[in-house]
Formats: sequence, C-alpha cells, structure tokens
Amino acid sequence: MASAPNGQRARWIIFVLVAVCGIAPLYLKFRQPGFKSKVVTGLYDTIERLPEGSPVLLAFDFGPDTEAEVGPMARALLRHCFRRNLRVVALSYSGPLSVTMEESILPEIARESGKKEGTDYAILGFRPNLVVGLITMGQDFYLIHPEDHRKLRCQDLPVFQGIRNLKDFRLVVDLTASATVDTWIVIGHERSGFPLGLGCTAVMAADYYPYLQSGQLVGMMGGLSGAYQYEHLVSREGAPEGGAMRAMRPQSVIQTLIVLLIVVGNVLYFRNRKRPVGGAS
Amino acid sequence: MSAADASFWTSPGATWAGLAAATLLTLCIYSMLYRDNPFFKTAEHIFVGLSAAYWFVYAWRELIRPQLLDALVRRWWMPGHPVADPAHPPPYAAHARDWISLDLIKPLEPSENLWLLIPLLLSLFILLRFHPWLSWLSRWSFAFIVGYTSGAIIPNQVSATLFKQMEPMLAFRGGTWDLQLRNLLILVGVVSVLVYFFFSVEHVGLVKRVSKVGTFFLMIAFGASFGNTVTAREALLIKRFQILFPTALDTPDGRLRLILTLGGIALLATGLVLWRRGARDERPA
Repeated sequence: MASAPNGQRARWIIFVLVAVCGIAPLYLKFRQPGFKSKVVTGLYDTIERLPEGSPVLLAFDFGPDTEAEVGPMARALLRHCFRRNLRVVALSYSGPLSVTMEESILPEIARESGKKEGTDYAILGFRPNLVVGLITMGQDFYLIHPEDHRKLRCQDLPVFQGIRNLKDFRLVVDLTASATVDTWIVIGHERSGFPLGLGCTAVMAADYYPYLQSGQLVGMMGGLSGAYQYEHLVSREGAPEGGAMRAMRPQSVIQTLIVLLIVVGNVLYFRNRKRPVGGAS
Repeated sequence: MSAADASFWTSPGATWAGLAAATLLTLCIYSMLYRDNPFFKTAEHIFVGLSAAYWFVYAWRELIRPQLLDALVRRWWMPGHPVADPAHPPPYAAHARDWISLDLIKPLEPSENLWLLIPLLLSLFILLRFHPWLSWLSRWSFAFIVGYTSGAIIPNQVSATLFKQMEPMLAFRGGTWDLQLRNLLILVGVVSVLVYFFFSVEHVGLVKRVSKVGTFFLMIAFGASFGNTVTAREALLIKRFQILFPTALDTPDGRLRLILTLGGIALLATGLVLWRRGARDERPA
C-alpha cells in the first residue's frame, strides 16, 4: 500500500471506514427512534381493518439476492397477518428462486405463530407469465393453481374456502424486487379491483408513490426503512428485534458516514477549484 | 423426500458445510474490492452455474413435465410420480429419480389435452431461431406473444397509468392545502421536464427558462434515485455482515461462525498473496 497512488489509498480508506461503520453497530446496541410514515401505516391499517379469517394473497416476487431488503418486510407482514388470524396464500411469478423464499420464510413465521399449512396458509410455488396468470386467476383461481407445492388439491384445503378468483381476496400484497408490481396494478388491480399493497426495494420505491395518491396502492413498504417502520408497528413489548431493526442500526451509521464523506468531498472540490490551474499547492 | 434424505440435509454437518461455503463464497466475491482475481471468478461462475441449473431443474420438474408432458400423456410412464406427503415438503432432490427416468422413451398416448401441442409447437419454434433455414418459424411464436400481451395490457395500461393518474392531479377542488401544493408541484415538474425534452423548438426565452426549471426537477429525481440505490446496496452489505459476524458470541454456535469467518479471511488473504506472487513470477523480466 506504501506505493499506492492517492486515489487508490482514498478508496481503501473508504472501504475500511464503511466496514467499521457496518460491523461495529452490530455489537454496539443503541436505541433507535421509531418513526412511521403514512405510506407504511396505510398498509398496516388495511390489515387491521380486515375481519378475522379473511384471505390475503402474498406474491413473493423476490429471490435470495434481495432477501436482505424484502425478507424483513415479508416476515413483519406475515407476523401481522397471523396475529390477526388471516388466511395467507403465497405464490410467485418472478422466477423459481423466489420459491425458496416462500418455502423458507412462510413456514418459519407460521411455526412461530402456531399456524398450520393447509388450514391457515398455503404455498403455491412459481408459475411463469404474470399477465396470463392474472387474467386466468381473475376468472378461476384453480385453473392455474390446481395444486399447492405439496401437490395437494387446493380446493380441498380449508385455507381456500370461499375463494373462486382474485376478487375473493380481501388484500393482495406484492413483495417484489422487480417490475412485477406494474402488472399487478395494470392487470390485477384494474381487472379484479382488489386492494393492493406493495413491499419493494429502496431502488424501486420512488417510482410507485404516484400510485398511492391515486388509491391504486393502499400502502407501501420501501426498502429497509419501510420494513423497519412496519416492524415497529407490529412489534410488541419485550419481543425480540426484527431483521430490519437489527439492520437499521448499521445502516444509520453508514449513511451518516456517507453524508460526511459527501460534505468533505465537496469542500475539497471547491477548495481545489479556487486554486489556479498548475499553481503551486 | 425420504426420511434419510431429509435427515441428511438438516443434519448439523450439512448445515455447517453450507455455512462454510456461504462464508467462503461471500468473501471470495468481496475480494473483487482488491482486484479481479481467480477466487472472485470462481465464486461468480459457481453463482451463475447454480442459478441456471436451478432454473432449468425447476422449470422441468414443476412446469414442463407436469403441465405439458404429463398432461399430454396422462402420466402413465411414471408409476412413482410425486405423491404428496404433508410431513415432508418437497425439496428438489426428492424426485430426481423421476425426471431422469429414461422410461420417457415410449410412444405417446393421446389424451383430452391434445390442444397442449399448440404451445409445445410454439415453444419449439422459438428454439428454431438458431436454425439457418427454419428460423422464420420463430416469428410465429413471437407474433403470438406480442399480439396476446399487447391486447391484454394496452387497454388496462391506458386506464391504470393515464386516466387514474390524472384523476387526483386534476382534483383541484377539495383536499387539504398540502395536497393541492403537491399537485401543483407535480404539474409544474411534469410540464417543465417535458419542455426540457422538447427539441422541436429552440430553447430560448420562456422555453429556456421553463426547461431550466425542468433540469432542477430532473436533478432532484436522479438524486432521490441514486440515494435509494445506495441505501439498497447498504442493506445487502449489512446482511452479509450479519452473516459473517454473528452477535451471539456467548453461544458455541456464534463463536464457531466467527471462527469460520476469520479462518475464511485468513485463507483468502493467503490465497491472494500466493496468486500475486505467482503472477509476478510469470511476468517476463
């Protein structure tokens, strides 16, 4: 490193600082303020208003690569649904890798909440082509999902009682890391009219605010911050911290560092700009 | 999945092997921060290969075989077809014996699902894209996909993204003052950005001033987008840190995981040093 040029050295300093700011807060516990926005409470309140036993459809349209962001949302949402004794049906249209999310997160939270597969929740796995899926599910849900992931006939399972098509779901939430939500809005919500919620990565969040004001989305969790807010809303006294709460501590520290680095970078830039070109330093 | 299969995959040995692989591969990927190296390349290739293989096996096992082939020939060739067992959810090794079965090579039996031959043919036509003489047939498949999707989406798209988005924008009466202000801001933003990208007139005078306002809106939008992207990447990094640096150090499990990480770092650092030394030796004098 002794012979490294200045830019290379600065790069390494930033790497080390980010690593320290990301790792140290994992061991140093400090209290974080709970905050909530209208955007997140919209989704929470919609679930609070649902009568017990209402069917809710969760689309797991994310994979292991975005589990860090969308996973905590899925867990918080499932805890809320199970606490309200809602029936949960999970499916995916974004790729086979999202099935690993359905099959790991849903049973984990169901076990924790004392819920049974087939009675309180169902996993349907992956189907390709969301456009065709939504049009078909809008007419007859079982035409495209005749069996669950255990190859059991869906119509024989108590969790599907009273469900004929998408209109029978009292809420649909797309937990996504891709543009699947566009199709859920354009085809699903537009044709079947169910209330639609969204949990998405931070990168996507800004694009979907217009749909909240128009009422096409009832609420939204955007990135880790959205998951953190939702965890705060569903957390109970003495309960262990959720994934987003644990991750928010290092994120706050890293973001403070980034803001400081931006300020320092700008100060240096403007200081250097004032110097005459080729002048002595 | 048989009980023996299940007990193997949930055994402590398999769990620790998985954790060790995850730790080492994560560190290999982050070694890219140093420079492009064979450890990073290995991890990258494993990731791409595994994802592709997973896609293929899943598509075959869950979609092509049960929904197309089984439906076409009434599953008669497979006496051991997956039987649901609620006690054991289906992991992917479970039915390996089925889908590699060579019993598939038997004459097809017609069934009531013969219409499935149409999607089968259209799928095969797409593959013919690589054939020099028959590639034109793939256009039929694409024409079907484009035609169907356009017909299904366009009417709803206009309604959902144009009319429904305009409704709250044009609701000037009623609503709180902050809502009205936001609507006004959106209106000014949309108009000024559209003017910025309108190149049919020269950007002078009023047009120049309006397009200048548009650039401010664009900068704010890009800033928000960039900030969100950074936040998303941080979340991914933090998750990796949580896996590499367990906090429950008072448990044997936590201590062992930390040892695994530190051992992995030491191993990778040694590997990188050796690789650099080898590369230096190979360089011509």
